[in-house]
Amino acid sequence: MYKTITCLLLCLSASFANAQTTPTVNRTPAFGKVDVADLELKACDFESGATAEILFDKGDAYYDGNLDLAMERHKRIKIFNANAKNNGDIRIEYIGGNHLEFITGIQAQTINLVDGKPEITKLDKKLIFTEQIDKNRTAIVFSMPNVKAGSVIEYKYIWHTNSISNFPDWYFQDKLPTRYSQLSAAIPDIFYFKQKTNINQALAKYSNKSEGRSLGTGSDVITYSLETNVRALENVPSLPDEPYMTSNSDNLQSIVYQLTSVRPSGGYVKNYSDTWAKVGGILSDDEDFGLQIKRKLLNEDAIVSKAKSLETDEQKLQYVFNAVKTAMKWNGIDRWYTNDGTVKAWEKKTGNSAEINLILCHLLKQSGLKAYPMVVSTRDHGKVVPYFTFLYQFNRAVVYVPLNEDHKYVVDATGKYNIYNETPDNLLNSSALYIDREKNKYDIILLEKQDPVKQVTIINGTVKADGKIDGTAQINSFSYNRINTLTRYKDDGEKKYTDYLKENNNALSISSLKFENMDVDTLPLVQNINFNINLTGSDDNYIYFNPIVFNSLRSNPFLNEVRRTNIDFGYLNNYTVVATYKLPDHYKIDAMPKSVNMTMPDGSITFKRMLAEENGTLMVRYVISHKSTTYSKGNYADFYEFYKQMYEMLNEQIVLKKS
Amino acid sequence: MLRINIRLLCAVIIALCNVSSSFAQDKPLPKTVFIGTGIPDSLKEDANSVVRYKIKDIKVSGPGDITVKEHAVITVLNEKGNDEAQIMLPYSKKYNSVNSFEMRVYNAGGDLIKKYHKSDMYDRSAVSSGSIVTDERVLYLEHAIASYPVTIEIISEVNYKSTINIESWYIQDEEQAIQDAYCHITINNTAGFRYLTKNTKIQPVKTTDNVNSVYNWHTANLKAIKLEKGAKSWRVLPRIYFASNKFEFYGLDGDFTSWSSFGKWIQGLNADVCTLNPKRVEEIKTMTANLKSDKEKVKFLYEYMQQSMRYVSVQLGIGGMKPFTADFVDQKKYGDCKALSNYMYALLKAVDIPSNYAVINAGNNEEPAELAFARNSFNHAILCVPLKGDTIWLECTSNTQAFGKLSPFTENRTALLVMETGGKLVNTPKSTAQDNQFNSEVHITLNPEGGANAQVKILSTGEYRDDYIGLATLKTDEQKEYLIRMLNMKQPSALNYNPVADNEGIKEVSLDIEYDKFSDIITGDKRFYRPQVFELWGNTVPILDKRSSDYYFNHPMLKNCVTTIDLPAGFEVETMPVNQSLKFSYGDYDVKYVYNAAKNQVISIAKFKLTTQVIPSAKYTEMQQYMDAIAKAQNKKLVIRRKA
Repeated sequence: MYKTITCLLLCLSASFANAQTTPTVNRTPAFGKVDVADLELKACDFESGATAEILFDKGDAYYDGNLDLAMERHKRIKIFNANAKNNGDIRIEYIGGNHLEFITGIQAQTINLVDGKPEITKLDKKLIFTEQIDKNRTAIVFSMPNVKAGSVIEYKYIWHTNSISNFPDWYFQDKLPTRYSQLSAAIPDIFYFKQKTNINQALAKYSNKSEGRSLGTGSDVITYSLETNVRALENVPSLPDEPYMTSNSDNLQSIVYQLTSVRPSGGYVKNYSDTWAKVGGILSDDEDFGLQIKRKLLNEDAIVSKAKSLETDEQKLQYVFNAVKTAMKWNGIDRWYTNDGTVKAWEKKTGNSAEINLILCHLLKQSGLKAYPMVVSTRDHGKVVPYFTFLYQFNRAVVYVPLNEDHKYVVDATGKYNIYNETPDNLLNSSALYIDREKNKYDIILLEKQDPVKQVTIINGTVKADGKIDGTAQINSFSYNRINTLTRYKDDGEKKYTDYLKENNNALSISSLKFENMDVDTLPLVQNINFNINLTGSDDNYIYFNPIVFNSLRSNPFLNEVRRTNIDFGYLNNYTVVATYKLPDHYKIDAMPKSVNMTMPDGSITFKRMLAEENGTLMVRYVISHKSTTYSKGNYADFYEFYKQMYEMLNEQIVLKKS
Repeated sequence: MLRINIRLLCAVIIALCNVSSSFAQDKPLPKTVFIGTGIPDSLKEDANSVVRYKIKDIKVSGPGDITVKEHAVITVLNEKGNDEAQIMLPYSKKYNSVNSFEMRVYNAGGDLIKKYHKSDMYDRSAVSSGSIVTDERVLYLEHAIASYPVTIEIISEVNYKSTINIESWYIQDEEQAIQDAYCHITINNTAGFRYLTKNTKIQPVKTTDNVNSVYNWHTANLKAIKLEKGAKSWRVLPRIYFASNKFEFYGLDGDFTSWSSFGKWIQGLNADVCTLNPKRVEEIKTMTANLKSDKEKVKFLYEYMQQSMRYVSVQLGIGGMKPFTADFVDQKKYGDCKALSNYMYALLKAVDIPSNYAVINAGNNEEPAELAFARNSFNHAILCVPLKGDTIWLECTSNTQAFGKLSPFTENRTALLVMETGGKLVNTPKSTAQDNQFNSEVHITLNPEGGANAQVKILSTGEYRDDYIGLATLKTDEQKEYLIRMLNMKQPSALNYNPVADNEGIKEVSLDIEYDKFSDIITGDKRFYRPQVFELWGNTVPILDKRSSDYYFNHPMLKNCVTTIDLPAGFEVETMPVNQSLKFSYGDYDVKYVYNAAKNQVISIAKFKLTTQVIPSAKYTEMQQYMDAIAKAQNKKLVIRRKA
């Protein structure tokens, strides 16, 4: 709200300025018209320490009189210092295969301030390279001449496409801060587009215009109205990579257009999907999706009859899931639709995520279970926006298995370490669409993990007078912690995994490491460790030690004071350490961390620490619990401070003194 | 430790394609080599894949016509060996071609389960990112392995019409065992063929007729090699390099009879691009007219070049070896390593200072070219200015490198100097501990509540200077986070970073730090501290029973830190950390603590020195124990208490 008001005020003051005959600030001056103030600009005034800034980025997307779609693009970048000179290397990628997209009219120039006047150096056309990346993708590559600290570079071009529905996406935000970004979209009302907008600051400009147009001649003439919509943002910060942020597509401020229907006067109306039910209907009839589920697989009877012989539905699910997971190797490609088809993939023992999971779906159905194909989006691909009914929001197919009210599973056999009773964590906190063709039910549901995901470490140690600890640790990893630990252990091998546990600390040695429940998906993974530590801080009088060994929280990931995106942990982490230490004779506790109970102002995280000594035995308990999976960037100051203090407390030591 | 890499590499496109081509011998292979089971355990140890049979058959018909056939049967044992089923064949539209390719996949029992042909391969540009422009391309194919073991058979033939080298025989990859491997080369007797054997003793069987000689190498039952941490693969993995006297590169004849002749060839490429137009020559003369010595002129022009230029890589055809013209670089203000070194050469030439363009194999501790074996192993160009009694080396792709200093990227190895008379292999300077210094002064003021303020001043040279120069590419908030991680500091409550100055290769920065909580722990009347803001030396190395290869650091170094700690009023020292003086064969660590009662200050003086970057394997354990002892020394506490 505050932002909106300041924006309005700015607009007002701009118009007053206008009345006083100062020229209006044109945010997107014509090619070659560069304000000396921009050439003299020394730093970005809305992002400290930026090495370059996009002065403006302007796109005019339109359908011309023949309904051909194009976009004129004009971008201007300011280079503040020599470290940003590489922003003068321009690469424009497009889908050049089958001439789907092409680029014309490239112009580029560098403008430097020389003796108080702009000096323009044009890009030599011969130095524009066209790179055929592969049969689909093409890139235009060029390097701007004469780039130095202080330069302004600009380029423009026209992007064309021969597909009427290929309306360009517009990103207001970039890896560089953007002073002004504007999209003008001129669309005949013949086409109806839905828009997915991700804009979280006030628009600096908004306008609509409608003009009557016609196409064709005589009796074939079609009249329509050309609707031009202009939107702009200003002072858009750069988007960095931050720990626990979600995908760029969730975070970059943008507008994405999707054609939903075409309404030519006269001809037929072509409707694209505009409800989830319609999308579901399309999916169930899709040759590369719904129809795949019915296809019989070679030698499937062995699996199906074995599954049928099992007593409970849970056992059947577990058996079929493991059979498919073991038999099939994911080729690393994520699609919601099949490519080779399930039958071929099954024969080759490898396939994309849709192939593997539709095979799973088929076998589960054959085994008599209720199993529905489901389309989802992985964390990297971006969260599904439920009101935006488009398939391209999804990039993977999985299987939805509601065994009963309490046990509704989302199973995915692509990951080697996935288990049947846990939704893969990279699908959490996003929506999914499942398809129940028989009941004609197509529902979008939010995938969440509601129960806390625990990690419990129990330590028993003896502190010795020579400054050493002998001890045992039992690490119990539940749910995703189980999967993550197992994945690391199996991928790294015992040696590397042990080094990881030790955090490469040569003062800590592990004499044995034994796992329990490695092969039982339904039980927590248990690691039993015998260790000893050389307490290197100790001296003649004092012994120092940290009661937490094998700290699974490691170092604080949130060291940056600034946060631009929301934090999303995926699930509720809950970490407990319980330790008991026998203290050496002739030593007394000289200093001990205080017992504390710290809570975030909104109650979303709690940290509890309790320490007590009795008869030469020290008892310690640390509990960290997250009550929320996501933390808004708006509350980052609290979150940052909480994490800082929590890590300080995790590192506090106990001091023993010789008596 | 985190680093920002600000140096750039040229012309490495072909080196990116490490999996290469092949076919040969028509003799049918026994069925057993296709069966994934039954490989001896000794070959499976540490191995992700086992080469069951491999033959590389190279036919050199002439300098501009080399055909390499390869036939390989490789069993992949686990996921880490998956790259054996990923094939990348480089080619270029006009010169180098993939004549044939076939890949077959066999299950554990040796049954054929899949066949791929050349038409199944994905065709793409060899490098496709950022500003790099190239016309080199690759054919790529990947088979998704469903279960292990699986055996991959590859039969291919590649023809080179443009190459400076004959393809090397990299016998063994990391974590790969060899059951049976052959290499054959057929080459004309007059070609001046030679080979260089590295990390293996195998010798060829040679047969000769009137026209050609045939060399046959064979090796068998090589155990897998796991590269140790800090080891360099070129020192460990067996390989054989080949060379002959003549070559063709993008239609141009070349002579590699000796270092001298190759240098001459490069000189020929540069000859018509290394002169600036007369108008610019005059301007440059004027610019430097007031400078007295040649050295001042070189410095002025190097810094002028650094300020005006940027690195952009464009490698098209002969442009992979021949620089852009000096005038082009002068106008456009960009170029790659060749273009910028050649431009620097032209600037110096304009003021009548002779210099030598030089080619080198760049990268930290990379393999040097060998005097006795002339072949093209270079991927980078630099410039050497032989002033009288004071040879200066210039890295021209860096905007920030201190004048006259190379870095671990190019120092301490051989470079081919290009001179009018031909090429000459010379050594680049070896860096010393004095070249890479980190000198710091820290003033900590403790408060009674356990908090502290600290002022830190750091003066750095060489690679340490680079750390702080690199920080300038980050935004303010990112700089703070980066510093906390790089110096491994306790997380402060507030941090202010100031890049103070950068003069004569010494970068000065200052930090103002506030801690609400600096002490490790406090009681009613005592405070316990690690008496430092950062550790002077933060590394340890793993404890090993046996070390077989040398350990490489990036550079020798010298680090100092003087820390002054003001105790809060009313407090006194209860326990001082102990002084330490540690030594090992290639360096020492020293820390001394002094209490100044009059000022109620504790002063510590710490010093760390590493005299060489290569630690022989025999000294590894000594180093490991030494570094553990440093870690221990840095962990000692200062305890203060309220005065009674």
